[in-house]
Amino acid sequence: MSFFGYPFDDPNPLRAMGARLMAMVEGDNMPRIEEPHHSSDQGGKSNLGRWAIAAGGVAAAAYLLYRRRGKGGQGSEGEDAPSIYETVTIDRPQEELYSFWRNFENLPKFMPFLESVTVQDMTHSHWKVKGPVGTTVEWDAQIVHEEEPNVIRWESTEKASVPNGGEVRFKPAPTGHGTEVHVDMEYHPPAGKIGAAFANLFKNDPDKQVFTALWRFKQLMETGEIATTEGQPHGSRSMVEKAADAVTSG
Amino acid sequence: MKALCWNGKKDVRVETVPDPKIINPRDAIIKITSTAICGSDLHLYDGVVPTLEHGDILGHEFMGEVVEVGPSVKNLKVGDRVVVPFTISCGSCFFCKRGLYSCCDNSNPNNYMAQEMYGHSPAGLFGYSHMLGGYAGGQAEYARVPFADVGPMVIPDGLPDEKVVFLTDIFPTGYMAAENCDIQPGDTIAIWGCGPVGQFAIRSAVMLGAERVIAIDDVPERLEMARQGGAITIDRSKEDVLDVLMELTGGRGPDACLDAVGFEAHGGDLDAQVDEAKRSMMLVTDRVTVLRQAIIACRKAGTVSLAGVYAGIGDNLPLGAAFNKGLTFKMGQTHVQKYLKPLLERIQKGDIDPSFVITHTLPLTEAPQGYKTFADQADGCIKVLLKPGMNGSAPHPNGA
Repeated sequence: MSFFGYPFDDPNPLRAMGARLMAMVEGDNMPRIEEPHHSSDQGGKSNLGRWAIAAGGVAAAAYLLYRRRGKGGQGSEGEDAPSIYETVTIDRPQEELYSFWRNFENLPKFMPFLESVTVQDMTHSHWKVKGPVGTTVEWDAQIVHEEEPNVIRWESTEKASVPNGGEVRFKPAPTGHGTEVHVDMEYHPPAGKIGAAFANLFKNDPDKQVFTALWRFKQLMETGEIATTEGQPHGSRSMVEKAADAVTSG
Repeated sequence: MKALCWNGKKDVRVETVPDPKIINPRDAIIKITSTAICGSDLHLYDGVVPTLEHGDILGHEFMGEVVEVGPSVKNLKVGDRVVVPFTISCGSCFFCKRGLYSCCDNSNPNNYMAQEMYGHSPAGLFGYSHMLGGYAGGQAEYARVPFADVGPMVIPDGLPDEKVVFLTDIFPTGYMAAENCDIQPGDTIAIWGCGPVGQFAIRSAVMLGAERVIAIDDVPERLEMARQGGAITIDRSKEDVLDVLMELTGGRGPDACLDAVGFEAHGGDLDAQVDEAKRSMMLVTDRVTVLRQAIIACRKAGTVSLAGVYAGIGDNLPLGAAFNKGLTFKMGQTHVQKYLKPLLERIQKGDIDPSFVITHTLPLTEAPQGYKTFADQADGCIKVLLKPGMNGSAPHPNGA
């Protein structure tokens, strides 16, 4: 028996839960558990729900229902304008965080989905992202609102094939607790090839992409580097049947 | 290099893998001279920890010689002999600044997974699943150590590996769990589990001034080692633990109860069987037998300290007992970096010689046998130390 692709009768719930979490891992050599496509407005919530099923049963599901409610307010207003909100607290001065972000050429350092951003003048910049099989999507953006050191808002210009924009707000956390960073990003993917490229950009999990970007920003600002295991050694990875075994065996 | 890789439930193999290299500016590469198998590695061995993958290099209790440092590492130089904490910590986030190294915000590249499961991500750990960082571990000839300017501590000459290698995990882990008991003069501390962490918890509780330490297990040689460490022992296979604890404490209960067993507790009690049945029905993931007993045994307004690992979801905890008795709970992965210097000083002063716990010393190439012996509690095995530089089998037990 299975539900959402999960082996409901897995005798080892932690293993099943692990398989679900592993499906979230990016990078090489990780066996992927194919999951059905979910529209982005379900975002992290559907992940939690499915995790609950993987974790198995009533206790886990009840726990995650609670977690889901706690998360609140995420996801989009409608299908046409997926909007992603994430926030993190960074133990650095507000001004420092603001000025690093304000130089958009820094963004690809912590937003792995960006190939490059070229600043053209005080408010205009050119953005480039990698699409599937060698394609790129490019657009121009402009800063439409800024209030140093509190807010930066940018939007793609009219010609952009994938209208998109974002806003970052910096505000002091309670004394001694650093700076809160709040990010809203939205995009309007069109139908067709470019829309597909953009969807691919976010790997159908935009919440995770923005979460990861924001935490990488934090890592970079607090430690001077971004935590990674890419390029480290490992033994022989499993074949497909072993990946399947990880899901189904106890 | 050679490295011990996980290949599935009860299947670990020594494989030849590429040597690690510096990836980030704050990395160092360590040539490993001693590396131990931890009780928590047995959870991985048993295949019950989520997000482990075939080919992952295990091991998080290791020490050795610095062979390369990244450009930002100024406190270490090639040739330094270091112990490496199992917790990877940046040293500059909110938590690290407060000495809460195992809660580091910045060391887990897979923090999204941990956040999904736990609400927030703890620090990355060596060789302990992808959810907790996915870092290659130290049961290998070499290891890459991130944030090497924060974690590793240089060991002065004259102290053999056997005396200092357990600073990487089990000595601080037992010590922090004892410290979490908030020991006052006259206190009685009950400790469930006489594995390596339990042994260090016993000796730490004594060092911290506990008047009596009561240790609970059912393996004769572990109970014997506990007695050597100064504990009164209860053999749970022969005696009713709660009855004996009440008798020993005049009905009041231990002032603090320390769980050095964790989420794979096993036992013949009815509630353990119920846990196992629920686990097989996917209703829970963690067996909490010891924790239940600790809550019931603990004196009113006492402390329950958890050192054994919990991973997922437990069930049927007597929260009413905990609430109405006003218990305090303390737990967590060890803030190893915080304990390195003070515990090294204790070793230098002769308060403790941590090598007492070693029963088996093997070359790295025999690590799979080491896992099996440790998991089966066979051959009097309490702690296995692996030596990448050693050839062939050493005489054991007590290879130290």
